[in-house]
Amino acid sequence: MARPEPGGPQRRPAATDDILGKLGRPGAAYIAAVAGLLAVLGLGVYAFAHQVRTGLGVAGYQPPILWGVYITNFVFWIGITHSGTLISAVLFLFRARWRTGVARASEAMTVFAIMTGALFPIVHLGRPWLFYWLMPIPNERGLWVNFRSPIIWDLFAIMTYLTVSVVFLYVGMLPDIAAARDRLRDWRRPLYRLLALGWSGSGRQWWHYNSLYGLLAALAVPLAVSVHSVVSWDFATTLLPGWHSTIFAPYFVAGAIFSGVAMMITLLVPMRALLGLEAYMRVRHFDNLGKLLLVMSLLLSYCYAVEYFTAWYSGSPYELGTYLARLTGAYAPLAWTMLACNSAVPLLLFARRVRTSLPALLAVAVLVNVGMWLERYVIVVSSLATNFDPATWTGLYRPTWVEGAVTAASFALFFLLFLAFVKLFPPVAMNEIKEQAEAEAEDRALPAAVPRPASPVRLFTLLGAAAGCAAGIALPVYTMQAWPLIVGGMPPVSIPPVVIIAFELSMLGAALGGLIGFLALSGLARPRRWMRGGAAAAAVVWLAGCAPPPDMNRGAAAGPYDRPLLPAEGALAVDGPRVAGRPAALNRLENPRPASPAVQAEGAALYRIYCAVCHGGDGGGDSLLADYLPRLPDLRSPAVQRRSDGRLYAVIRNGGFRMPAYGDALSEGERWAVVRFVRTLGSGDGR
Amino acid sequence: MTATDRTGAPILPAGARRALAALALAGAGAFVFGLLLGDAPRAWQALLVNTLFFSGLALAGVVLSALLQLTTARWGRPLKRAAEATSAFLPAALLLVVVLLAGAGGWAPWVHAPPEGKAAWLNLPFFAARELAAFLVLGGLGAAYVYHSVRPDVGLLHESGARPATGWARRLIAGWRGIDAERERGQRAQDRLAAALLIAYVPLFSLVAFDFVMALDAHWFSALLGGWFLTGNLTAGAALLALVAAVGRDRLGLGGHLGPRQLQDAGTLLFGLSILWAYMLWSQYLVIWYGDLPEEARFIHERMHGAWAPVAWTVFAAVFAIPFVLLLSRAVKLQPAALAAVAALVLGGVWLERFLLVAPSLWRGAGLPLGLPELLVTAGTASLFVLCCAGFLERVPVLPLSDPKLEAPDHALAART
Repeated sequence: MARPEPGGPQRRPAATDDILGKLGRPGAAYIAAVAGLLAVLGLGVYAFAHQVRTGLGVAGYQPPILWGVYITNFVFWIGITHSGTLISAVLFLFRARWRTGVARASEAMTVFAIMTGALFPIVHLGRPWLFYWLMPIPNERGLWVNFRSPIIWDLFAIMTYLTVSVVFLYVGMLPDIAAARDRLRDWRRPLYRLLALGWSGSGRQWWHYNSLYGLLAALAVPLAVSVHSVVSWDFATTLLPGWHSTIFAPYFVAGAIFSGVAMMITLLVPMRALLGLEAYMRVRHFDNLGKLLLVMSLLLSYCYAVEYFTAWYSGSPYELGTYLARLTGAYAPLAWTMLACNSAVPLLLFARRVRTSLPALLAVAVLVNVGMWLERYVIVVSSLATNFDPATWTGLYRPTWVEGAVTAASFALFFLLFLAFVKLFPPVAMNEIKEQAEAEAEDRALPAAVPRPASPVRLFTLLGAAAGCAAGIALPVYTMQAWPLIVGGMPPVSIPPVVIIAFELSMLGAALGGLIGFLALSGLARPRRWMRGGAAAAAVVWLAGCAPPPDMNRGAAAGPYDRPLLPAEGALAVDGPRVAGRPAALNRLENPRPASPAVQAEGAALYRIYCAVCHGGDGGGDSLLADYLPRLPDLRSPAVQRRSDGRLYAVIRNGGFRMPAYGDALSEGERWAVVRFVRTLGSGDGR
Repeated sequence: MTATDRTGAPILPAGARRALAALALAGAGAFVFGLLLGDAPRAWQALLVNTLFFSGLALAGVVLSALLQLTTARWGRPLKRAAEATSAFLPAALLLVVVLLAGAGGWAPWVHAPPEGKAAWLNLPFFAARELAAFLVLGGLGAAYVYHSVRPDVGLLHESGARPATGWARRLIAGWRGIDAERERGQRAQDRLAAALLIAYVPLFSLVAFDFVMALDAHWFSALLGGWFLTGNLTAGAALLALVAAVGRDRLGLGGHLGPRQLQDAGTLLFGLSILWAYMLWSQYLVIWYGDLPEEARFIHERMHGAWAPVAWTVFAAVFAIPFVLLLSRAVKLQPAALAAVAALVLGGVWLERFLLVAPSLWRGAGLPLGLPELLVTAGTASLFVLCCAGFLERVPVLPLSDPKLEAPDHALAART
């Protein structure tokens, strides 16, 4: 909004040249840092490859603690993202002038932190190459994403956030990229030419540009808040004591902003010294960041206090027990360290001396980073440690070297991306610096030269939001109807999940609509080139769609069920007769359950739960899943009914050609009851 | 400066003043009548709702002024004093709280049947002590903050001879050391007290929510209730500020300082807080809906279904849905009448929200307890509130004249959006 208008302030070459000068040849320290980080990253990649080859067992998971360091890292990095886009956008909306020095670098941090954080759900998977199964392509692969699961909300929230953050960062840099294009003559020039899109800085372009930038800032704030809220609901929507708390969403958002500001200070203090940016990032900027850090620390302490108070007030021994276990149990040292780092140390920032001394501020910020990482670790691990099943409470989770190496690699990746960024793009917003310098020189508020009508970019944004909202309603509603499974007592089409998806896609649509409107109205889009690119992208999508669909029943998961696991020779069966693989013996087995109506009714009830989903209610194979399964035998047919009771029993217990084994799910007596019921499907006499 | 001339002039016409005083008396009368001769629980319930709303509003004004002070916001300086005017209701709020605490047996269910295991928290002496302490701390900090805000302005008018201080104003500026020293001292004290007030407000007002709302239901608990409750309170405060900005320009003589930019920013502040309120509501609702645990879900269920459902949807529409749609438009924010209408809607919505939080936990009769007793008690409290604020603004400068961030009228009006 408050950007140079045509005929406004003259350019000041000094700041531009100075900042572009920072993009010059890197020094020895820079190269050494890159080399060291690459080594750490390489070790992490090796560790991850080891994990993929060997299996997830090389991580230190210990039932019931099946979320560990990887999920901790995921929450931590997504938290770090709140440094940038959110703070930059909020300060822009509040017209805080001191934002100028730190906004660019923090927006870049956001993008890199999302990229780093979004890797961890994939690292955490047992079969990471199947991560795209999260994508909601309705009924394409015999897979239906469950829109009532917060994991799917995560996907939508993070993808939207990444897209909008990239757009926000890119649009903010556009004038500076054009300046770099005009002044730098080296190997990077083609890159700048491509990215500058022919920006000339004309009045019309600035008019649409200012409109878009304000809109993006306004979109970024609720979006960033929604992302960490959704992450918090991964935890809070469980009923687990210590996780199931209404304050989780604002609590996680507060923690995220807190850790984000701390990471901002951690990165900016060294960067300022290394790149010589003292003129642009002044001590008073860091003073303000210190105040922000203090405010967020106090808010977070409030959340801690309310959490503990409510656990006690609720009168639930399980809630209280979980919180007490946090402070006294196996993870207590970590919990106390976290409280010290997050609630006690930042109180030092009340002192102006600490806020204005960069080494002291940096020390506090690093401790906060440590504290916030530990906070996530404590939340993730200590609640799982006291899961619903007390018999499993003995498990103590200890991360292994693999998790350590992957974690270190994530930091290395983040810093590497950031180092690359500061050498490729101006790390400080040059156009804003100039404008601010002029405003301060004249000691006035930033004026708009002429009041202008609102740019039509607003209309594009609104249309994009409407389209996104419609898609965000249609997709989950359609999918939930196509696969009407009752999960956790929630009706198939539940409104709250639809609200979340519709919100995320509205934000995505608004940002993309605004961007398209801006490019089109400013004459920056070159339709022919875009159409060529679009055709290439469409071809890729189309080819991907043609790839053989990895059906669930052809996937790796079907493997274990392909052949029944036979008991060792001579093993003594404690779970009904040993029946596998001996047809003659099977035929001699007799059904010990009587053919009474009660047993048949029991069998019918079990059949409805375990069998009907594939075989259909009447045994004819006409079921929800029929389209996705190979032809199923008709249980009513003579071919099935002719078989002896023992053979039917064996199939239930051990599984069949495609059918999984139900020996774990049904007890011996229950299996025989199901056999009794299957008999009623044929002749009806229950023989 | 036009504003200085207004100081001391009556803001309310004498007739309006008399009518408001009569309404305030009628409200008090309706409460006493209900207590002694009518439906006592209903009278207590009405008083509880109004105490929560208006004492909250009295604090919210001061808290918003403290926020403007701490964020060094320029746009809102012309409204700073108007926001502080709500502090004049703080003594009355304290009185209402004392009445409620004295009669806790008449409205708090736990006095007669403390829920199992909660006696350590829900017992009358501890309850009364902590609530009194909370209101005294908040009121004390608020009053001290307002004192340091008003003192340099009164002194400035006295020093320049524009309006010599007499009576109480002379006591207010006792020990005057000249405007430059006083301005600096006032700003420093305000910065410190504003920070202290905000730090105290969040936990203590959450405590009020836990004690006066959550405890009415023996089994319900929600960690976010405090945050949601205080967000609603600040939303009402922002609505009041927008209302003052929209209708108070001529009546308060702020016309020279309130241009389109200030109106738009006041509207945007309301817009933002209204969204924050909806976010808090949603965050609490989603977790309870998903978990579907009886002890948590019942509280929501009994408000969203049956007789209370229309009230619940009215609250949602008035505090979030309608203001959200309308305030998206710049034209609405710039049109004083429209902005005033939206602000009034939000104020009514937050009142109804307080009613919806409290009443279903207490009311056991048929239908909705919304009728003449509620109307009279509410109108009475509201009248007292308006009288207090107007009286305050008649006695002190309506602009923070000594504030270095207060822009000159022509500059303040320069369009900057």
